[in-house]
Amino acid sequence: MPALTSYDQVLAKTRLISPRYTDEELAAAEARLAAKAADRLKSGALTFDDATTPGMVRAVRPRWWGTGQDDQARDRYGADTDLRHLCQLVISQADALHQMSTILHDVDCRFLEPAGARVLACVLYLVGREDSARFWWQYAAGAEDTAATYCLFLYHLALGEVQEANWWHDQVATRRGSLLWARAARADRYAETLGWATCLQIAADHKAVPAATTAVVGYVSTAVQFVDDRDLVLDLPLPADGFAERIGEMTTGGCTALSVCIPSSPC
Amino acid sequence: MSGSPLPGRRQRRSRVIERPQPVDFTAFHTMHRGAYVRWASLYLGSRADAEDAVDDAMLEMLGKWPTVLSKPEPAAYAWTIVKSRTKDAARARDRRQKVVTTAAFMAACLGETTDPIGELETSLAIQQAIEELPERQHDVFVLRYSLEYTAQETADLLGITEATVRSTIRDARRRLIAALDLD
Repeated sequence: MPALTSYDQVLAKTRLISPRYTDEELAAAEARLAAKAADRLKSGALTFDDATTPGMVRAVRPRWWGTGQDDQARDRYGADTDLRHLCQLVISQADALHQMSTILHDVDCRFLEPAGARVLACVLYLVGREDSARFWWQYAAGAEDTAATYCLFLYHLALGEVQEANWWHDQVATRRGSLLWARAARADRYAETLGWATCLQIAADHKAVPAATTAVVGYVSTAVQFVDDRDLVLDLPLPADGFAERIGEMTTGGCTALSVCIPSSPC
Repeated sequence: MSGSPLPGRRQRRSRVIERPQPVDFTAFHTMHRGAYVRWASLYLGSRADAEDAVDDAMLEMLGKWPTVLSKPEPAAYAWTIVKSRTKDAARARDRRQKVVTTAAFMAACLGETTDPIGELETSLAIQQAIEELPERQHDVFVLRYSLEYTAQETADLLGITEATVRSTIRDARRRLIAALDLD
């Protein structure tokens, strides 16, 4: 064994080969840790101190947690609830009805703004017109509307269509140039979607849905019908004639409550 | 009951708010994970095993994050958790012997030598001496010289001051010189 003669020699031989931790490793670790946290919560292997902040718990706990159902049922239960919540948030935004009335004005010229399509879709979903809602979400998502894309993620998850849900979710990630989500677990996609919805809620300042919006929701439920478009050989969920004017009346104070603004009745 | 029944509590809350350390778990994870994994890799001989051990440690911290933050030095407390989970993993997999040889082998490989067996013996002797350092000296030495973190980074990881890092290194130096019979 060669003799060591100095402390500096010791230091030189102490240096070990240990690659630096890369950003890719960190990103993978974050996704894995979130998935493990969700799994351990589910099995009871992870609990939180009483003092743990609710926000932190929410950050790692999927919304379906505590429902006592299996994974798929949890997703369905949670996604349906969260989608309704997201739709409420979308239609609560200050300019939502204006955006929707714009799309309705433009129907005839077939040049529709995605923001208006997104609002119309959310209104249709809230009144139980799921197929029509999906059509307009897809229209908006095709024009890179993030809210509509997240709605489609939750919509398919609620139906148990996980692959379709993930595909829609990852359109957002692709647009942002993030490849992380390509490897992300379902819980992470879900958490990210809800995080985005929470931002929307904060932006909306937690205000309740305006009375005029509530009135519009009731009206739209029957005023949008499938129309056979002979040019496209498609049944499109389009609004009835005079729809835009009616929405305009409602949003300028003509109606204040659903009870006085039932579909097809004078306001 | 009148007056101020919860003065201590109020004081404690204000202390947490003013604390300069990161209070967000995600930020803490981002800042420390790399070092934790590199450190654990030395003792488990595998980056994948190290990732698992650090995952366990981080989840333990997550479950009691307010407790971690309530400690005088959260990073120091977190470090004890990481070490504990790493030791658990090593014990469970009986990696102790492999750890020493792996670390020594890696060190030996660094040098261009005409006597690899002799170099390996030398490295083993050094590793043995480092292993026998008191715990604090050992941790500081490995982070500072084996993993090449700066004195400030080492201090941040261990939740101690930079001055303490420097004095601990001086103590470790004296011990190693004596143990290896250096000039």
